[in-house]
Amino acid sequence: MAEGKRPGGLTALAVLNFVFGGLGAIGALGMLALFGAANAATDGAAGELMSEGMSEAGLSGGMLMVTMVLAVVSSILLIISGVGYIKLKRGLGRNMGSLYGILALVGTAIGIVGGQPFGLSSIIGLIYPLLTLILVNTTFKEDLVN
Amino acid sequence: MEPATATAPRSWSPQHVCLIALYSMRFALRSGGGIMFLLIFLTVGLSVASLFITPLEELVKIDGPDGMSASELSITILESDMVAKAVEWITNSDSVQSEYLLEKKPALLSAILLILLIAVPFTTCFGAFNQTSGDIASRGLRYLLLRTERANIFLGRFVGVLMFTIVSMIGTMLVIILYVQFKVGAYPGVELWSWGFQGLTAVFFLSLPYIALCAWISCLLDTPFGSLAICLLISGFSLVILYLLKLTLLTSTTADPESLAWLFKTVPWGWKYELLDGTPTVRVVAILAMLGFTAAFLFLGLRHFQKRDL
Repeated sequence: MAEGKRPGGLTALAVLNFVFGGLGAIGALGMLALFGAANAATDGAAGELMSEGMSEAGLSGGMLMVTMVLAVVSSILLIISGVGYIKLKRGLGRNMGSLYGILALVGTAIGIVGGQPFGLSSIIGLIYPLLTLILVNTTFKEDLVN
Repeated sequence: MEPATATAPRSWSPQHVCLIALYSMRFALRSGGGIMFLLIFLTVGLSVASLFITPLEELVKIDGPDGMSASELSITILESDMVAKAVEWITNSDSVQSEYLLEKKPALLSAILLILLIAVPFTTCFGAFNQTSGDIASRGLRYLLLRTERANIFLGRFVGVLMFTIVSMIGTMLVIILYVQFKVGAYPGVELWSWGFQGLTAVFFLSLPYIALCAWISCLLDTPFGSLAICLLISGFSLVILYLLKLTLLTSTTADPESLAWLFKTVPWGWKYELLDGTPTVRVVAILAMLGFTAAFLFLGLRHFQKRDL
Protein backbone atom coordinates (compact mmCIF):
# COMPACT_ATOMS: atom_id res chain seq x y z
CA MET A 1 0.00 0.00 0.00
CA ALA A 2 1.81 3.11 -1.20
CA GLU A 3 0.83 6.61 -0.08
CA GLY A 4 -2.43 5.18 1.28
CA LYS A 5 -4.87 6.48 3.87
CA ARG A 6 -3.65 6.03 7.44
CA PRO A 7 -5.60 3.29 9.29
CA GLY A 8 -7.36 4.34 12.50
CA GLY A 9 -5.29 1.87 14.49
CA LEU A 10 -2.05 3.52 13.44
CA THR A 11 -3.39 6.93 14.49
CA ALA A 12 -4.40 5.42 17.85
CA LEU A 13 -0.90 3.93 18.26
CA ALA A 14 0.67 7.31 17.43
CA VAL A 15 -1.49 9.10 20.03
CA LEU A 16 -0.65 6.45 22.64
CA ASN A 17 3.04 6.80 21.76
CA PHE A 18 2.89 10.55 22.36
CA VAL A 19 1.06 10.07 25.66
CA PHE A 20 3.32 7.30 26.99
CA GLY A 21 6.47 8.96 25.58
CA GLY A 22 5.58 12.32 27.09
CA LEU A 23 4.70 10.84 30.48
CA GLY A 24 7.86 8.69 30.46
CA ALA A 25 10.11 11.64 29.60
CA ILE A 26 8.52 13.88 32.23
CA GLY A 27 8.78 11.10 34.84
CA ALA A 28 12.43 10.23 34.11
CA LEU A 29 13.62 13.84 33.86
CA GLY A 30 11.60 14.83 36.94
CA MET A 31 13.14 12.00 38.94
CA LEU A 32 16.67 12.94 37.83
CA ALA A 33 16.01 16.59 38.73
CA LEU A 34 14.57 15.58 42.12
CA PHE A 35 17.56 13.37 42.98
CA GLY A 36 19.97 16.09 41.85
CA ALA A 37 18.22 18.80 43.86
CA ALA A 38 17.94 16.60 46.98
CA ASN A 39 21.61 15.64 46.71
CA ALA A 40 22.73 19.25 46.29
CA ALA A 41 20.55 20.50 49.17
CA THR A 42 21.84 17.87 51.62
CA ASP A 43 25.51 17.94 50.53
CA GLY A 44 25.37 14.37 49.24
CA ALA A 45 23.60 12.88 52.28
CA ALA A 46 20.45 12.12 50.28
CA GLY A 47 22.52 10.21 47.69
CA GLU A 48 24.18 8.11 50.40
CA LEU A 49 20.83 7.34 52.00
CA MET A 50 19.43 6.34 48.64
CA SER A 51 22.34 4.02 47.85
CA GLU A 52 21.97 2.42 51.29
CA GLY A 53 18.29 1.84 50.65
CA MET A 54 19.03 0.38 47.26
CA SER A 55 21.66 -2.00 48.65
CA GLU A 56 19.12 -3.21 51.20
CA ALA A 57 16.69 -3.85 48.36
CA GLY A 58 19.40 -5.75 46.48
CA LEU A 59 19.81 -3.14 43.70
CA SER A 60 22.97 -1.37 42.53
CA GLY A 61 23.49 2.28 41.58
CA GLY A 62 24.69 1.26 38.13
CA MET A 63 21.47 -0.68 37.58
CA LEU A 64 19.38 2.35 38.50
CA MET A 65 21.37 4.45 36.03
CA VAL A 66 20.87 1.87 33.26
CA THR A 67 17.11 1.75 34.01
CA MET A 68 16.87 5.56 33.94
CA VAL A 69 18.79 5.82 30.65
CA LEU A 70 16.60 3.09 29.11
CA ALA A 71 13.47 4.93 30.26
CA VAL A 72 14.64 8.19 28.66
CA VAL A 73 15.69 6.45 25.41
CA SER A 74 12.36 4.54 25.30
CA SER A 75 10.44 7.79 25.71
CA ILE A 76 12.40 9.43 22.88
CA LEU A 77 11.84 6.39 20.64
CA LEU A 78 8.12 6.43 21.44
CA ILE A 79 7.78 10.07 20.37
CA ILE A 80 9.91 9.61 17.22
CA SER A 81 8.01 6.48 16.16
CA GLY A 82 4.72 8.30 16.87
CA VAL A 83 5.71 10.89 14.28
CA GLY A 84 6.70 8.03 11.96
CA TYR A 85 3.27 6.39 12.33
CA ILE A 86 1.53 9.67 11.49
CA LYS A 87 3.65 10.12 8.35
CA LEU A 88 3.50 6.37 7.50
CA LYS A 89 7.33 6.21 7.45
CA ARG A 90 9.17 2.91 7.35
CA GLY A 91 12.34 4.12 9.07
CA LEU A 92 10.84 6.48 11.64
CA GLY A 93 7.70 4.43 12.19
CA ARG A 94 8.27 0.72 11.78
CA ASN A 95 12.00 0.57 12.61
CA MET A 96 11.87 2.97 15.56
CA GLY A 97 8.70 1.32 16.86
CA SER A 98 10.36 -2.11 16.67
CA LEU A 99 13.48 -0.73 18.35
CA TYR A 100 11.32 0.62 21.19
CA GLY A 101 9.63 -2.76 21.62
CA ILE A 102 12.96 -4.62 21.71
CA LEU A 103 14.49 -2.05 24.07
CA ALA A 104 11.56 -2.39 26.48
CA LEU A 105 11.93 -6.19 26.48
CA VAL A 106 15.70 -5.92 27.01
CA GLY A 107 15.12 -3.34 29.78
CA THR A 108 12.78 -5.70 31.62
CA ALA A 109 15.26 -8.58 31.22
CA ILE A 110 18.13 -6.42 32.56
CA GLY A 111 15.94 -5.37 35.49
CA ILE A 112 15.15 -8.99 36.38
CA VAL A 113 18.82 -10.01 36.10
CA GLY A 114 19.72 -6.96 38.23
CA GLY A 115 17.45 -8.06 41.06
CA GLN A 116 14.14 -6.35 40.33
CA PRO A 117 11.24 -8.70 41.12
CA PHE A 118 9.30 -10.10 38.16
CA GLY A 119 5.61 -9.80 38.84
CA LEU A 120 2.31 -8.99 37.22
CA SER A 121 3.28 -5.30 37.10
CA SER A 122 6.24 -6.26 34.86
CA ILE A 123 3.83 -8.13 32.57
CA ILE A 124 1.44 -5.13 32.48
CA GLY A 125 4.43 -2.94 31.57
CA LEU A 126 5.25 -5.26 28.67
CA ILE A 127 1.75 -5.18 27.12
CA TYR A 128 2.29 -2.01 25.09
CA PRO A 129 5.84 -2.75 23.84
CA LEU A 130 4.79 -6.27 22.78
CA LEU A 131 1.65 -4.96 21.10
CA THR A 132 3.73 -2.34 19.26
CA LEU A 133 6.29 -4.92 18.16
CA ILE A 134 3.60 -7.26 16.82
CA LEU A 135 1.40 -4.63 15.18
CA VAL A 136 4.08 -2.64 13.32
CA ASN A 137 5.58 -5.85 11.93
CA THR A 138 2.34 -7.57 10.94
CA THR A 139 -0.90 -5.58 10.81
CA PHE A 140 0.63 -2.23 9.78
CA LYS A 141 3.66 -3.59 7.92
CA GLU A 142 2.17 -2.70 4.52
CA ASP A 143 1.16 0.78 5.68
CA LEU A 144 4.52 1.96 7.01
CA VAL A 145 6.32 2.08 3.66
CA ASN A 146 7.03 5.74 2.90
CA MET B 1 -27.75 -5.73 -17.17
CA GLU B 2 -28.30 -8.53 -14.67
CA PRO B 3 -31.37 -8.41 -12.45
CA ALA B 4 -30.78 -6.97 -8.99
CA THR B 5 -31.61 -10.28 -7.31
CA ALA B 6 -28.56 -11.95 -8.91
CA THR B 7 -26.08 -9.70 -7.09
CA ALA B 8 -28.04 -8.84 -3.98
CA PRO B 9 -29.61 -11.89 -2.33
CA ARG B 10 -32.76 -11.07 -0.40
CA SER B 11 -32.42 -13.62 2.37
CA TRP B 12 -30.25 -14.19 5.44
CA SER B 13 -27.13 -16.16 4.55
CA PRO B 14 -24.83 -17.88 7.11
CA GLN B 15 -21.97 -17.82 4.59
CA HIS B 16 -22.24 -14.06 4.26
CA VAL B 17 -22.41 -13.65 8.04
CA CYS B 18 -19.25 -15.77 8.46
CA LEU B 19 -17.43 -13.85 5.74
CA ILE B 20 -18.35 -10.46 7.22
CA ALA B 21 -17.52 -11.70 10.75
CA LEU B 22 -14.06 -12.93 9.71
CA TYR B 23 -13.28 -9.71 7.89
CA SER B 24 -14.61 -7.63 10.79
CA MET B 25 -12.48 -9.58 13.26
CA ARG B 26 -9.32 -9.18 11.16
CA PHE B 27 -10.07 -5.51 10.57
CA ALA B 28 -10.59 -4.88 14.32
CA LEU B 29 -6.84 -4.63 14.87
CA ARG B 30 -6.52 -2.04 12.11
CA SER B 31 -9.09 0.18 13.80
CA GLY B 32 -8.30 2.47 16.71
CA GLY B 33 -11.17 1.03 18.74
CA GLY B 34 -9.86 -2.53 18.44
CA ILE B 35 -6.37 -1.62 19.64
CA MET B 36 -7.74 0.47 22.51
CA PHE B 37 -10.03 -2.41 23.55
CA LEU B 38 -7.18 -4.93 23.49
CA LEU B 39 -5.00 -2.61 25.54
CA ILE B 40 -7.79 -1.77 28.02
CA PHE B 41 -8.95 -5.38 28.43
CA LEU B 42 -5.45 -6.77 28.97
CA THR B 43 -4.50 -3.96 31.36
CA VAL B 44 -7.74 -4.15 33.37
CA GLY B 45 -7.65 -7.97 33.53
CA LEU B 46 -4.04 -8.14 34.66
CA SER B 47 -4.46 -5.18 37.05
CA VAL B 48 -7.37 -6.96 38.75
CA ALA B 49 -5.19 -10.07 39.10
CA SER B 50 -2.33 -7.92 40.38
CA LEU B 51 -4.68 -6.41 42.99
CA PHE B 52 -4.84 -9.81 44.73
CA ILE B 53 -1.54 -11.44 43.81
CA THR B 54 0.93 -8.58 44.43
CA PRO B 55 -0.01 -8.06 48.14
CA LEU B 56 0.42 -11.82 48.70
CA GLU B 57 3.85 -11.74 47.09
CA GLU B 58 4.80 -8.71 49.19
CA LEU B 59 3.66 -10.49 52.37
CA VAL B 60 5.88 -13.44 51.49
CA LYS B 61 8.83 -11.03 51.17
CA ILE B 62 8.12 -9.48 54.60
CA ASP B 63 7.93 -12.91 56.23
CA GLY B 64 11.23 -13.93 54.69
CA PRO B 65 12.26 -17.30 53.29
CA ASP B 66 11.37 -19.14 56.52
CA GLY B 67 7.82 -17.76 56.59
CA MET B 68 4.79 -19.03 54.73
CA SER B 69 4.88 -19.49 50.97
CA ALA B 70 2.64 -17.44 48.65
CA SER B 71 0.38 -20.46 48.18
CA GLU B 72 -0.01 -21.07 51.94
CA LEU B 73 -0.63 -17.37 52.52
CA SER B 74 -3.25 -17.16 49.78
CA ILE B 75 -5.12 -20.15 51.20
CA THR B 76 -4.93 -18.82 54.79
CA ILE B 77 -6.06 -15.30 53.91
CA LEU B 78 -8.63 -16.03 51.21
CA GLU B 79 -10.31 -18.79 53.19
CA SER B 80 -10.69 -16.61 56.29
CA ASP B 81 -14.10 -15.59 57.68
CA MET B 82 -13.52 -11.94 56.80
CA VAL B 83 -13.01 -12.73 53.10
CA ALA B 84 -16.01 -15.10 53.16
CA LYS B 85 -18.19 -12.26 54.53
CA ALA B 86 -16.85 -9.91 51.83
CA VAL B 87 -17.67 -12.47 49.11
CA GLU B 88 -21.19 -12.94 50.51
CA TRP B 89 -21.68 -9.16 50.44
CA ILE B 90 -20.31 -8.74 46.88
CA THR B 91 -22.21 -11.66 45.40
CA ASN B 92 -25.32 -11.05 47.54
CA SER B 93 -25.37 -14.75 48.36
CA ASP B 94 -25.25 -17.09 51.35
CA SER B 95 -22.39 -18.89 53.09
CA VAL B 96 -22.84 -21.96 50.87
CA GLN B 97 -21.86 -19.96 47.78
CA SER B 98 -18.90 -18.25 49.49
CA GLU B 99 -17.71 -21.66 50.71
CA TYR B 100 -17.99 -22.99 47.16
CA LEU B 101 -16.00 -20.07 45.73
CA LEU B 102 -13.32 -19.94 48.43
CA GLU B 103 -12.89 -23.50 49.65
CA LYS B 104 -14.11 -25.86 46.95
CA LYS B 105 -12.60 -23.83 44.09
CA PRO B 106 -9.21 -22.02 43.87
CA ALA B 107 -9.95 -19.00 46.08
CA LEU B 108 -7.39 -16.69 44.46
CA LEU B 109 -8.87 -17.22 41.00
CA SER B 110 -12.41 -16.84 42.42
CA ALA B 111 -11.48 -13.47 43.93
CA ILE B 112 -9.98 -12.31 40.63
CA LEU B 113 -13.06 -13.50 38.69
CA LEU B 114 -15.49 -11.73 41.07
CA ILE B 115 -13.84 -8.36 40.41
CA LEU B 116 -13.24 -9.09 36.71
CA LEU B 117 -16.97 -9.71 36.24
CA ILE B 118 -17.64 -6.17 37.54
CA ALA B 119 -15.27 -4.71 34.92
CA VAL B 120 -16.41 -6.82 31.93
CA PRO B 121 -19.62 -4.89 31.04
CA PHE B 122 -17.69 -1.62 30.80
CA THR B 123 -14.55 -2.91 29.07
CA THR B 124 -16.69 -4.79 26.54
CA CYS B 125 -18.26 -1.50 25.42
CA PHE B 126 -14.81 -0.26 24.32
CA GLY B 127 -14.51 -3.11 21.85
CA ALA B 128 -18.08 -3.20 20.58
CA PHE B 129 -19.23 0.42 20.34
CA ASN B 130 -18.32 0.90 16.67
CA GLN B 131 -19.92 -2.09 14.96
CA THR B 132 -21.84 -0.07 12.37
CA SER B 133 -21.93 3.59 13.47
CA GLY B 134 -18.64 4.59 11.82
CA ASP B 135 -19.62 3.05 8.51
CA ILE B 136 -23.11 4.57 8.71
CA ALA B 137 -21.49 7.99 9.19
CA SER B 138 -19.09 7.54 6.27
CA ARG B 139 -21.81 5.94 4.09
CA GLY B 140 -19.40 3.04 3.55
CA LEU B 141 -22.08 0.39 4.10
CA ARG B 142 -23.73 1.27 0.77
CA TYR B 143 -20.98 -0.62 -1.10
CA LEU B 144 -21.61 -3.70 1.03
CA LEU B 145 -25.36 -3.44 0.50
CA LEU B 146 -24.87 -4.07 -3.21
CA ARG B 147 -23.63 -7.57 -2.39
CA THR B 148 -25.46 -8.69 0.72
CA GLU B 149 -28.48 -8.16 2.96
CA ARG B 150 -28.67 -5.78 5.92
CA ALA B 151 -29.23 -8.65 8.36
CA ASN B 152 -25.98 -10.31 7.22
CA ILE B 153 -24.02 -7.10 7.80
CA PHE B 154 -25.55 -6.54 11.26
CA LEU B 155 -25.10 -10.13 12.45
CA GLY B 156 -21.69 -10.49 10.78
CA ARG B 157 -20.33 -7.44 12.57
CA PHE B 158 -21.78 -8.71 15.86
CA VAL B 159 -20.15 -12.14 15.46
CA GLY B 160 -16.86 -10.50 14.39
CA VAL B 161 -16.72 -8.33 17.51
CA LEU B 162 -17.69 -11.35 19.61
CA MET B 163 -14.81 -13.42 18.19
CA PHE B 164 -12.32 -10.59 18.75
CA THR B 165 -13.56 -10.22 22.34
CA ILE B 166 -13.24 -13.97 22.94
CA VAL B 167 -9.65 -13.98 21.66
CA SER B 168 -8.79 -11.06 23.99
CA MET B 169 -10.47 -12.80 26.94
CA ILE B 170 -8.65 -16.08 26.30
CA GLY B 171 -5.31 -14.22 26.12
CA THR B 172 -5.93 -12.40 29.41
CA MET B 173 -7.17 -15.50 31.26
CA LEU B 174 -4.23 -17.55 29.96
CA VAL B 175 -1.70 -15.06 31.39
CA ILE B 176 -3.53 -14.98 34.75
CA ILE B 177 -3.85 -18.78 35.07
CA LEU B 178 -0.26 -19.42 33.97
CA TYR B 179 0.97 -16.83 36.48
CA VAL B 180 -1.10 -18.29 39.34
CA GLN B 181 0.06 -21.80 38.46
CA PHE B 182 3.77 -21.20 38.00
CA LYS B 183 4.55 -18.11 40.10
CA VAL B 184 2.13 -18.47 43.00
CA GLY B 185 1.80 -22.26 42.76
CA ALA B 186 -1.10 -22.37 45.18
CA TYR B 187 -3.45 -24.89 43.55
CA PRO B 188 -3.36 -28.19 41.66
CA GLY B 189 -3.14 -27.64 37.89
CA VAL B 190 -6.33 -29.50 36.90
CA GLU B 191 -8.43 -27.69 39.50
CA LEU B 192 -7.01 -24.33 38.47
CA TRP B 193 -7.47 -24.86 34.73
CA SER B 194 -11.01 -26.25 35.02
CA TRP B 195 -12.07 -23.34 37.25
CA GLY B 196 -10.29 -20.93 34.89
CA PHE B 197 -12.25 -22.37 31.96
CA GLN B 198 -15.52 -21.98 33.88
CA GLY B 199 -14.53 -18.41 34.74
CA LEU B 200 -13.77 -17.72 31.08
CA THR B 201 -17.20 -19.07 30.15
CA ALA B 202 -18.79 -16.76 32.73
CA VAL B 203 -16.89 -13.76 31.35
CA PHE B 204 -17.95 -14.74 27.82
CA PHE B 205 -21.65 -15.10 28.66
CA LEU B 206 -21.63 -11.82 30.59
CA SER B 207 -20.07 -9.96 27.65
CA LEU B 208 -22.67 -11.33 25.17
CA PRO B 209 -25.62 -9.04 26.09
CA TYR B 210 -23.34 -6.01 26.31
CA ILE B 211 -21.94 -6.63 22.81
CA ALA B 212 -25.53 -7.01 21.57
CA LEU B 213 -26.51 -3.79 23.36
CA CYS B 214 -23.59 -2.02 21.65
CA ALA B 215 -24.72 -3.47 18.29
CA TRP B 216 -28.16 -1.94 18.85
CA ILE B 217 -26.86 1.48 20.00
CA SER B 218 -24.23 1.48 17.24
CA CYS B 219 -26.90 1.24 14.53
CA LEU B 220 -29.06 3.86 16.25
CA LEU B 221 -26.35 6.54 16.15
CA ASP B 222 -24.07 7.57 13.32
CA THR B 223 -21.24 8.84 15.54
CA PRO B 224 -18.89 6.23 17.03
CA PHE B 225 -18.02 8.39 20.04
CA GLY B 226 -21.70 9.03 20.74
CA SER B 227 -22.29 5.29 20.56
CA LEU B 228 -19.49 4.62 23.08
CA ALA B 229 -20.77 7.29 25.45
CA ILE B 230 -24.36 6.01 25.32
CA CYS B 231 -23.29 2.35 25.74
CA LEU B 232 -21.21 3.23 28.82
CA LEU B 233 -23.98 5.41 30.21
CA ILE B 234 -26.60 2.68 29.78
CA SER B 235 -24.30 0.08 31.36
CA GLY B 236 -23.52 2.31 34.34
CA PHE B 237 -26.58 4.49 34.80
CA SER B 238 -29.05 1.60 34.66
CA LEU B 239 -27.42 0.32 37.86
CA VAL B 240 -27.57 3.73 39.54
CA ILE B 241 -31.25 4.08 38.63
CA LEU B 242 -32.05 0.58 39.88
CA TYR B 243 -30.19 1.23 43.12
CA LEU B 244 -32.08 4.50 43.67
CA LEU B 245 -35.37 2.75 42.88
CA LYS B 246 -34.55 0.06 45.41
CA LEU B 247 -33.72 2.68 48.05
CA THR B 248 -36.97 4.52 47.33
CA LEU B 249 -39.02 1.33 47.62
CA LEU B 250 -37.25 0.36 50.82
CA THR B 251 -37.91 3.73 52.46
CA SER B 252 -41.49 4.19 51.20
CA THR B 253 -42.74 0.63 51.77
CA THR B 254 -42.17 -2.05 54.35
CA ALA B 255 -40.49 -4.36 51.86
CA ASP B 256 -37.29 -6.06 53.00
CA PRO B 257 -34.09 -5.83 50.86
CA GLU B 258 -34.19 -9.54 49.96
CA SER B 259 -37.63 -9.24 48.35
CA LEU B 260 -36.35 -6.49 46.03
CA ALA B 261 -33.40 -8.50 44.70
CA TRP B 262 -35.39 -9.17 41.51
CA LEU B 263 -34.97 -5.48 40.54
CA PHE B 264 -31.38 -6.09 39.43
CA LYS B 265 -32.43 -9.21 37.52
CA THR B 266 -34.03 -6.90 34.94
CA VAL B 267 -30.52 -6.16 33.60
CA PRO B 268 -27.67 -8.59 32.68
CA TRP B 269 -25.57 -7.18 35.56
CA GLY B 270 -27.89 -8.82 38.12
CA TRP B 271 -27.19 -12.32 36.77
CA LYS B 272 -23.38 -12.15 36.59
CA TYR B 273 -22.50 -13.99 39.81
CA GLU B 274 -25.01 -16.76 39.12
CA LEU B 275 -22.70 -17.67 36.22
CA LEU B 276 -20.19 -18.83 38.88
CA ASP B 277 -22.75 -20.52 41.13
CA GLY B 278 -22.10 -23.94 42.58
CA THR B 279 -25.52 -25.29 41.57
CA PRO B 280 -25.61 -26.28 37.86
CA THR B 281 -29.29 -25.35 37.43
CA VAL B 282 -28.64 -21.81 38.70
CA ARG B 283 -25.76 -21.51 36.22
CA VAL B 284 -27.96 -22.75 33.36
CA VAL B 285 -30.71 -20.26 34.26
CA ALA B 286 -28.14 -17.43 34.32
CA ILE B 287 -26.78 -18.50 30.91
CA LEU B 288 -30.34 -18.60 29.52
CA ALA B 289 -30.97 -15.13 30.95
CA MET B 290 -27.82 -13.81 29.25
CA LEU B 291 -28.86 -15.41 25.96
CA GLY B 292 -32.34 -13.93 26.37
CA PHE B 293 -30.97 -10.40 26.88
CA THR B 294 -28.67 -10.91 23.88
CA ALA B 295 -31.54 -12.06 21.67
CA ALA B 296 -33.70 -9.12 22.77
CA PHE B 297 -31.00 -6.51 22.09
CA LEU B 298 -30.14 -8.13 18.75
CA PHE B 299 -33.81 -8.20 17.74
CA LEU B 300 -34.23 -4.51 18.57
CA GLY B 301 -30.99 -3.59 16.80
CA LEU B 302 -31.75 -5.65 13.70
CA ARG B 303 -35.26 -4.22 13.47
CA HIS B 304 -33.86 -0.68 13.51
CA PHE B 305 -30.98 -1.50 11.16
CA GLN B 306 -33.38 -2.96 8.58
CA LYS B 307 -35.34 0.30 8.42
CA ARG B 308 -32.76 3.05 8.88
CA ASP B 309 -31.21 5.23 6.20
CA LEU B 310 -27.74 3.97 5.35
